[in-house]
Amino acid sequence: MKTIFSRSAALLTLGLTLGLGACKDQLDLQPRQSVDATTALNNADKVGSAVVGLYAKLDDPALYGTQLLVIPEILGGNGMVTWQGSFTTYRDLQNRTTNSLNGLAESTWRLAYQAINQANLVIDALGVVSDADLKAQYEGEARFVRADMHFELVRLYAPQYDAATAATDLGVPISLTANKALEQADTDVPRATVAQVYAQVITDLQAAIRLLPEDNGTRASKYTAEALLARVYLQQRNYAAAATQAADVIDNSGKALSPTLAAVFRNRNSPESLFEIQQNDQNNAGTANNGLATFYANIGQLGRGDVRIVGGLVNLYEDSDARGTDSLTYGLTRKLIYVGDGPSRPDNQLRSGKWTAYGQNIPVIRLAEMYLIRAEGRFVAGDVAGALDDVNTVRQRSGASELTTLTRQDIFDERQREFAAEGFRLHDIKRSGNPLVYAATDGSTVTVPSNSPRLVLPIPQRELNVNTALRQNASY
Amino acid sequence: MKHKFLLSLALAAPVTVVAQTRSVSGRVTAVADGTGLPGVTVLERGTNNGASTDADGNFRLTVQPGATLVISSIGFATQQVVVGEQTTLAIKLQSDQTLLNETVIVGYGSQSKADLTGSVTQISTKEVENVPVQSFEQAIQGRTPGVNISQTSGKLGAGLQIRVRGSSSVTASNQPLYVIDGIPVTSQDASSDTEPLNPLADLNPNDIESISILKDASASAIYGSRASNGVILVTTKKGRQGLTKVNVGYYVGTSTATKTRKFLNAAQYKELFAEAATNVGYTNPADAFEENGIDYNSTSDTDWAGAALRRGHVAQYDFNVSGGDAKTRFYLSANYNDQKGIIIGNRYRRGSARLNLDHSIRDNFKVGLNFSLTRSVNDRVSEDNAFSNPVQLNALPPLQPKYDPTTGLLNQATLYYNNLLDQENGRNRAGNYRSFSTAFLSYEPVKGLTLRTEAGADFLNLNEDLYRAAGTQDGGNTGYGYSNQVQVVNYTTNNTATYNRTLADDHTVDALLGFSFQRSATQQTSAEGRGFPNPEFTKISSAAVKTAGSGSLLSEFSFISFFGRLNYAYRNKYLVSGSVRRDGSSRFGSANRYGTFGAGSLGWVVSEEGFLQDNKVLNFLKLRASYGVTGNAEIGNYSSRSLYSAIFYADQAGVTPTTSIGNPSLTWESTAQTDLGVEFGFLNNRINGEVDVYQKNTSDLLLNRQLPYTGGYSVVTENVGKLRNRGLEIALNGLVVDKAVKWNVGGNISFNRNEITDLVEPIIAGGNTLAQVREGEPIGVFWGRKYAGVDAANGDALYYTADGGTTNNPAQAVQQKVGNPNPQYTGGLNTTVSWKGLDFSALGQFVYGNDIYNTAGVYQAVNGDYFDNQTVDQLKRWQKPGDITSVPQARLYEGNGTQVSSRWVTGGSFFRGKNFTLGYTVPAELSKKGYLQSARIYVSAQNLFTITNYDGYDPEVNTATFGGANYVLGHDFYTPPLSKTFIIGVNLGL
Repeated sequence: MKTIFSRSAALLTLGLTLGLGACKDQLDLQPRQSVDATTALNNADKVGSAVVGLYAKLDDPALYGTQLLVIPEILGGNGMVTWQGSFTTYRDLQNRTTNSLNGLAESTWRLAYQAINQANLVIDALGVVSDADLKAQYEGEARFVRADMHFELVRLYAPQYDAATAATDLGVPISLTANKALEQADTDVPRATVAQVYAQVITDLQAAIRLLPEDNGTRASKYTAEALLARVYLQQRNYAAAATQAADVIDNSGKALSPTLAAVFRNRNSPESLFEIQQNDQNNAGTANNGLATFYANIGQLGRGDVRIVGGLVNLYEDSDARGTDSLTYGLTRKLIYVGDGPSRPDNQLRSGKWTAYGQNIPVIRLAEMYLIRAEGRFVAGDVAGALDDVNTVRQRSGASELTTLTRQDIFDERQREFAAEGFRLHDIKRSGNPLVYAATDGSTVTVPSNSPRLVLPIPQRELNVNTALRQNASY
Repeated sequence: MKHKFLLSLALAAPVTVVAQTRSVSGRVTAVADGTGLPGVTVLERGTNNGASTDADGNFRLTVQPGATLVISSIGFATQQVVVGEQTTLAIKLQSDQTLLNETVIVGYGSQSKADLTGSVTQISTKEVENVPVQSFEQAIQGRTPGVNISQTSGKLGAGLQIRVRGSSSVTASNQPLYVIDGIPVTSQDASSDTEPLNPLADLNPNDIESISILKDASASAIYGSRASNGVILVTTKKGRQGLTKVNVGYYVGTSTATKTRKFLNAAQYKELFAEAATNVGYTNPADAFEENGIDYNSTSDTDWAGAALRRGHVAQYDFNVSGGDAKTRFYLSANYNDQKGIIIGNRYRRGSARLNLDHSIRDNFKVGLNFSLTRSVNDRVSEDNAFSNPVQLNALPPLQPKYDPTTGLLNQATLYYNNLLDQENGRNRAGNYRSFSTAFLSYEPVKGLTLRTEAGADFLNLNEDLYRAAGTQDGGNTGYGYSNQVQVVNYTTNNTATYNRTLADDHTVDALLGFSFQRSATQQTSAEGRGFPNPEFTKISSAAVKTAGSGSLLSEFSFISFFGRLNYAYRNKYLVSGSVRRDGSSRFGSANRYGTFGAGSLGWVVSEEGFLQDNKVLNFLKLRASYGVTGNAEIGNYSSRSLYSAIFYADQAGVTPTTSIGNPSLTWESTAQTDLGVEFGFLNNRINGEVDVYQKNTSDLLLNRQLPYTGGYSVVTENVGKLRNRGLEIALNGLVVDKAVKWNVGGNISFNRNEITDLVEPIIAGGNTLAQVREGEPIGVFWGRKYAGVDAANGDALYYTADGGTTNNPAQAVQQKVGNPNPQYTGGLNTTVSWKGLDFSALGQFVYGNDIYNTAGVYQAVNGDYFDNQTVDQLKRWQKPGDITSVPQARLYEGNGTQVSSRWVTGGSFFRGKNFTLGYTVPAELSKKGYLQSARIYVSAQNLFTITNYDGYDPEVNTATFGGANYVLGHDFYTPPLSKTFIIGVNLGL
């Protein structure tokens, strides 16, 4: 009896052990819609996917998909555009009454740092890419994105770069480490100074220029990085350096202005495009609560018509200027500003014709900007004739009359005409030092100094709560 | 070995030539009235040899010399009879209300109720059979002390909310583990809709033999990391040796809403809104109506709220055969259930078949198979928050007609979508194929030792098919289609050794050792399309654009477990039990892959002591205590990992890290539970009951911690946070009259207090809800502005400020506790009366002290702020200075009292007449003339009446539309009421 018991027990134990051996691996179940981070970037192809992912990240509505182009138009856009949508986040920005709980300030901050960390992860993983050209390209692309995001952050969340105070003005935290573990991700990084952030941006862009190929399809090339560097120098008011970069792009990139400005937005990857976010009908920044066409367009059922173009902008254009308006609806107009006809908004309100399809590409840097940067550089250097040349190159394309004399203000106005609805407005005000002046609804004139702390976004409250090393901006 | 094997066979087998067998026959009758008892199990003790009695209570059996017969039947005290030299036995069974000798199904085994040291509620087949519901849990509401079962909506087949001794988690699941015939089954919703379906509705309630709910740690710890929310064990019916029984059942009935709500009629609507318009400066109020497309002079007076509801219809056809001989037993059933719901467009149908078979290869070697297949089809109703939810029709102005008078077609020019269009131009169907199956092999090498291996599978195949033709709201201009296929395959194997032995008559040992492995995989393939040529084309293949809802997914989890249990009893007086389980799961972080859980318990059967043994009044008294630690592993399949997922850049796919960083130490939530219980029986158990107090402390709650965005991630999921449930459960039962008339009265009441004891920061559900999770408060506490009524001077809505004053500016109001969705106590009352062939039963269910927030109040009970039709109570609005009312002045568009606040919080207590059944069993002599073994006819009413102060539809409500988080409780949002159902049925035994 006892033998039977012990043998049965032995048999059972054996069965259990066998069963176990077979089962042990069964606890290691791999997710199927995602992959584990430890093996996600362990060969060249996978790193390549992460680089594509970087660009995809830039199309997020919190970045170039919507907010990086809309926030600078709304904040500081008084007199040019009116926010008439239901989102109070934008309305508060336009009224400069927002606070540190603003969801737009939070999401742009969040996504920019996600893109930065992803760029760091790509750079960290480059060891597995054996092809030297590919490795250089990936590193260049990652550095380009990292520089671009730090630049967008510093010009939104920190005061304008001023050589006199940049070494003490608080910029934004700089992130250069590839955070993979909780301890790394959970580090309280303080704000670097504005000077430090710009220095890092320039370092990364110079490296990117060295690393990137001259032609990289629709992705960032050497000339994309140069063009961005021109923009960075311009924002720093380093006009000479900006003009040098812009001139190299104009002379050597092989890009040319499109015959019409509308073509840049109707077609994909026009000859003038230096950096363009790729979208299609399936993958885009949004069709209901996000997306540039969602906010700007008002064409039948397409778009919510949340951003209205008003007098200050319209009056900048001559009648012959194709960038202005002929007060016709989108279906009939030959100009870039049309009259909305959607049922959700009253008739006879003007809309920008740049953003008219959910799946359209988003030009972020185009050659016209290089002409106007060089114009400004030449003007500051005293070469008014050269500056006039560049300004007129841009004007001519849209049928505006040739200028014969030129002031600094003319160049600013030209930038406003050319880049309306492309996210330039706020940054130009801050750089120019000219106050924002507009007529309030009661007819009184409002003047906002260009260095008003209200033209700087708040550091998100959520971030201040979590990271005790951060300090809030003035006035929030 | 071979020799001894034969010997042991010989010892056990009654038919071997070695032993002298004898034949006995007898009749089993009831003590009370002397009638023969059919279906009583007569078993030779310690063997599988047995028989069951025929319709008159007769049996015949061949036994070994010295055999003892164990005679048992549900509702009667089990009796043991020594056969000795007798050949004919007359056995009288005493009815037993405590069912002390009843066998209780526990994890991986069974135990006699008297020996049990854990807290278990067991419910028998009687309570779940032939009740017009979709799923068995609905049938046992009010019968389960310590287990609060709540229907969240009147939609057929909707998910239920079941809390065993309170909510023990904030973010992980709070639903118990369901085990059917030993196999853990898929009980999470597999559908893609916001509102869950109940996957347990696929089990035919008529196939259930018993339901055991394991409540304390002692009972549940054998299920280790999945036991914290309690465990529900369902055992299906088996065949018994004896006469083959054939049962045919049918019922048919009709249903209406338990409760409806009154909205303004056309005249009242005009009066209120004209006043609201006038109050804000309209000189001609008709203009305000016109602006919203409402014809002020319309002669229509449409009852839109009524248009959402209709008279339902239920029917069930049931057939089963069971029986067998000494070698093979079987139970075979087929069932078809058809319920046309009270909400337009809602219908549930289920067809199921089952075969439970077991066979004795030898006396000590058994094999068996339980196999079922179910097909269910649910024509669903849109989620509560959709304009296409029929209940939302109540928002439409009575001035607008249902049909366009000129075309005669459904009126499309209504204030909100006239979703009656959906009824004609679309479908929303969830079709299910489900199979619960278990096969087992059991071997008893020596007496008392049983080796058992079982393998089970639960297949769930769900096919969702949604189509909205062009012209409907979702269909837009070209039509919309969505198709979703979900397959959940869930395999388990259990291997156990149990040893049961009584030594020297005093020491009873019952030991269990086991190993179990489970793996579950969920696969989903969906397709979504727009742009159909015309409404005759309804499949995605005919759609011009396949949209972003198309895709396929796979998600898996696995568990490896070792477990053991030891029960020891000394003279059935002192009871000790301990259990332990070690669980490994793919869900746990790599640093914490295995966890050990366990419980210990003690019992003292005081009535077995000398000083109580012959007590005439108190005949049974048991004290028991248990403590143990269990887990909750419903933490998501891959929460512990850092992951990369796909991200799309125009037509290229890239990868990106997910925003939540991995936590390799992530682990289960753990619950330490202490339980003290007493069980008693007076007057030969005619009065009996059970009282339990418990405390459940849950720690390591899974919560998200925010990380600095600058590191690239948003949150990490960690085991932080604690909560506690404390409670008291009382169950009492009394056989008041035990003569020819039998009258039994029973009841139970349960108190549970939930408190979040440690939380980093409050969790705010947000949106239009009041739900929050806050330290020091119960889960889901209603937190927001407190409404202070109306300023009698000017009709402004007022709210309380921090200093106790009032303000008409909601921004200045203080956020505070304004309600608690958790009831103070819940319970049920039941009674049964039988006399001759007549039987009557009644079941009442009550819930007391909870609050409900009518989230739709901000639209439908808001003194005419917008043109939504209003509830009639809004007519009591403030009109002139001095008016004392709680309804502010009607001011169109001005937001007077529209803020989310306690204004729409009301008490949700109710008492419900849950089930009333009157039956008549035709006397055997009579039924036999019709060649029937038995015949019973009955009428039954489900949810007959509901007594409540709640002013909405039905107080048993919780919308799933706000994401279904554990802490959004007691919210009503255009949620349809339950149904009141009357049926008439017949059961025939052939």
